[in-house]
Amino acid sequence: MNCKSVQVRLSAYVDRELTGTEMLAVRAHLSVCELCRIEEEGLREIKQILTATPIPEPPADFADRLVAAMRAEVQPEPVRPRFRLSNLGYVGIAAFSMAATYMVITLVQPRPTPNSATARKDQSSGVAFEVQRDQAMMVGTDATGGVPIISASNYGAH
Amino acid sequence: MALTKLLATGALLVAASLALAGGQDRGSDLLRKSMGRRFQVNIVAVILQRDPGGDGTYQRVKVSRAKDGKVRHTILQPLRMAGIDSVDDGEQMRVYLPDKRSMIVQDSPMLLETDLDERLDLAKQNYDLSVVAGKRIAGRSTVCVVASPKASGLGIRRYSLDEKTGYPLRLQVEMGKGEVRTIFDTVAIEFPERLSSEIFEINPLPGTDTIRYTRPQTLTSRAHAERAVGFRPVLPTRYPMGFRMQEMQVNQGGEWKSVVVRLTDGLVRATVYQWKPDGGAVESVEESSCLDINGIRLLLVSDLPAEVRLRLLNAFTSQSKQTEYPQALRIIGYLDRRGKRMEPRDIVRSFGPIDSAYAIG
Repeated sequence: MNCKSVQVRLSAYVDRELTGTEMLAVRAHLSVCELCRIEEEGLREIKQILTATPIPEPPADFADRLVAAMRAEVQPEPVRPRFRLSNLGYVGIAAFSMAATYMVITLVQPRPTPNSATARKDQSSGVAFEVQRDQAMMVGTDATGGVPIISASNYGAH
Repeated sequence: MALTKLLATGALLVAASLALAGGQDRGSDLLRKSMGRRFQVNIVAVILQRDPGGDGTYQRVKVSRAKDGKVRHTILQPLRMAGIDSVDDGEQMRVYLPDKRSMIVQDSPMLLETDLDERLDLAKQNYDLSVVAGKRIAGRSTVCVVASPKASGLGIRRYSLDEKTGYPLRLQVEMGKGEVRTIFDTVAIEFPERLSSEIFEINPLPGTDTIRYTRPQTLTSRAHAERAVGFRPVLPTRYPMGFRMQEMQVNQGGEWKSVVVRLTDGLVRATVYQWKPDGGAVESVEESSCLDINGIRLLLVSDLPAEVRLRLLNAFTSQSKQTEYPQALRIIGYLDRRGKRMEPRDIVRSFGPIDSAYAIG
């Protein structure tokens, strides 16, 4: 199993959703591939953060205030007030759900911390980055060597 | 009758050797065109290139190259690298890493001196060059320069060049055991009449850090190297498979100081980094082989097959005890523009004032 096929299965691997054979194949690859192992650790951290982060509760009167605010903006119709109120209720619930989802996503965005997978990777790859930077310079001397590439993955130790 | 046969055989041999020499020259001429730093046309291409960290996968890169030599590379895939931009304007090479909010600035590779004649002479010594009709690549007709190595272990290299412009569209290397490695390949190419100058500008996000690196400095001797990095590098007197030392330099990047020994056989490059390790584990560097000798770590980086890298690296260990200062000075291998080996005093003269101040008198 190569890096590409492992990385598409990583999420399922972390969630223990793979078949036994696949689990073993991914585990074997992770034991020899640092890049994928770092990817796996990063994924685990993100999942842990997401699981551990409490879903923020809106204030108790949030739904009432939202519906009231929307009501105030909508012109009252002369007929079928009960039906209109019902529609507004649906709209309110939908808006509330969207707002809550937005808040959850915003709060659980992983932030760069010293413990993040990226930071760990950077701190141990100073030489790798320097070599890549130097090689990029040599490759760039003519077009027959391909394209000089410096990747972000091993940058950051300086 | 026997005389006629002899004459015919002789004529055939002469014709064959003339054809071979012709192929060698034509191949060399075509490579010279493709190794040049400027082309007669503007080029916009999408290429696939081996991803060093991708376990055989490929990067997709957009290349914009102006007639005046300015180049921009934008990585499109894989996602972990998408958006990385690199612009070389002939003076500086700037690499923008948007995820890191960082801009790496170093001297343009185009400022490095290269002598194509010297390089191609070496290539002709080490390879038999021939030219064959190429396949159509990205809708373009190509010619293919086949470089067959004279040394065993090195792969046959096939340079597919655009028939009209000489621009390299594909490079494949036979790695042995039937494996053909595509170093890069072109999936789309066009030659626009004009390229906006804005293409060669990078507008980083606010708060982006700029990190500047100085160009590696040429070292004139092992003693010179010792003064620069604190240890005497290992320099063999000769290298296998026709490789020669191009230059010895000190890499002054960041806190990591290393001696850089650049080797080439004319077509393939190999770089040997030497430094005093601090006891940490060997870092994972793609396409490299590593060994320690007398407290110095040697890391050879090249797209050569692993066993060839080791053969090359072994030259450093097997000959290290024979290397003395006068020999080391003579094997620096800094060649002048006419391809002649330079005497130490000439080497000193050829450097700038800063290098001369360090050089051994």
